[in-house]
Amino acid sequence: MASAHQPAGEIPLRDDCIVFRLAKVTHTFPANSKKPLSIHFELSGEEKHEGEESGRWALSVWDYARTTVDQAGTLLTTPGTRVPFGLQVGHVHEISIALDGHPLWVVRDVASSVIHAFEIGHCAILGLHRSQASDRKMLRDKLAQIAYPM
Amino acid sequence: MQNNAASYSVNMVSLADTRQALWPRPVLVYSNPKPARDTEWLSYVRSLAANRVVPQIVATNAEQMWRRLRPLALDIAIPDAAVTDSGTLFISWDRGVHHLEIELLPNGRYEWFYRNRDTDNVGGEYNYPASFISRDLMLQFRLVAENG
Repeated sequence: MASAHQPAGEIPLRDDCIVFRLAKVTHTFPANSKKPLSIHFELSGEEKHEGEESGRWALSVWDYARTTVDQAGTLLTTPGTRVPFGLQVGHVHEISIALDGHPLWVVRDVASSVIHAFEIGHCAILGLHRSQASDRKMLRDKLAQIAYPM
Repeated sequence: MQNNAASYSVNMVSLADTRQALWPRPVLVYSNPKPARDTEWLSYVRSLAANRVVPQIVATNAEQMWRRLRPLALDIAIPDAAVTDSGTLFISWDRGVHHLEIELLPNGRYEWFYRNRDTDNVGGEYNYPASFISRDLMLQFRLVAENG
């Protein structure tokens, strides 16, 4: 899937990889619903803060081949119930919007110092930060459309 | 609002698309097999404020908005919903190819967004006071509700 528009300095995942998003889900209606909603693919407050500081807006996801859901759960920095939603990387890379045929990239996002081996599964979806609200909401709805509860 | 959908311009949503979707009725792709009732929805909304999950203004706005939108729907159109860390109430409907979402913000304002998942036609309005419900939102709500 790599192309000339690949983000500089990033390592994209192969299309056949599976990643999962640990979405913070509270007070759903219907109760205990695990339906993927577009709000689950909105950058969290922490992710927005990091984006503002670094200029790199990254939605946190995990490579299922390198990190299990339980392992990722042990690394959470904020409390709250999470639901894992799976995404096929190829489906994410197929998403397009007007004037942008490849807006989203799933890339490796491993911290420079890791304590546990399974931390090397951390990845990011880049491209969700948009100046146009309609573009941002369309992209996250497209992610919700291809996501599935794990 | 009843039969004059074609008489005014819809923000970013083509009228041809809207008319086609309203009549004839599209094939249903997704539906909640056991739709909750209105009372359950209102009970949920009220519980959010009672349990301090969202600010009172968010729950109040959600209930008032529901009472204004609900009569537009022939069939019950109970949404999916979730609350964010910031106290925003996210509400969405997926009916066939139609996706509509409303975010009620803690500052008393709201955003709505519509997307036809087949054509990618979109519409929406952002940062509106919750007391104001535009004709565009009413039109999209009716469109989505009638495809449930």
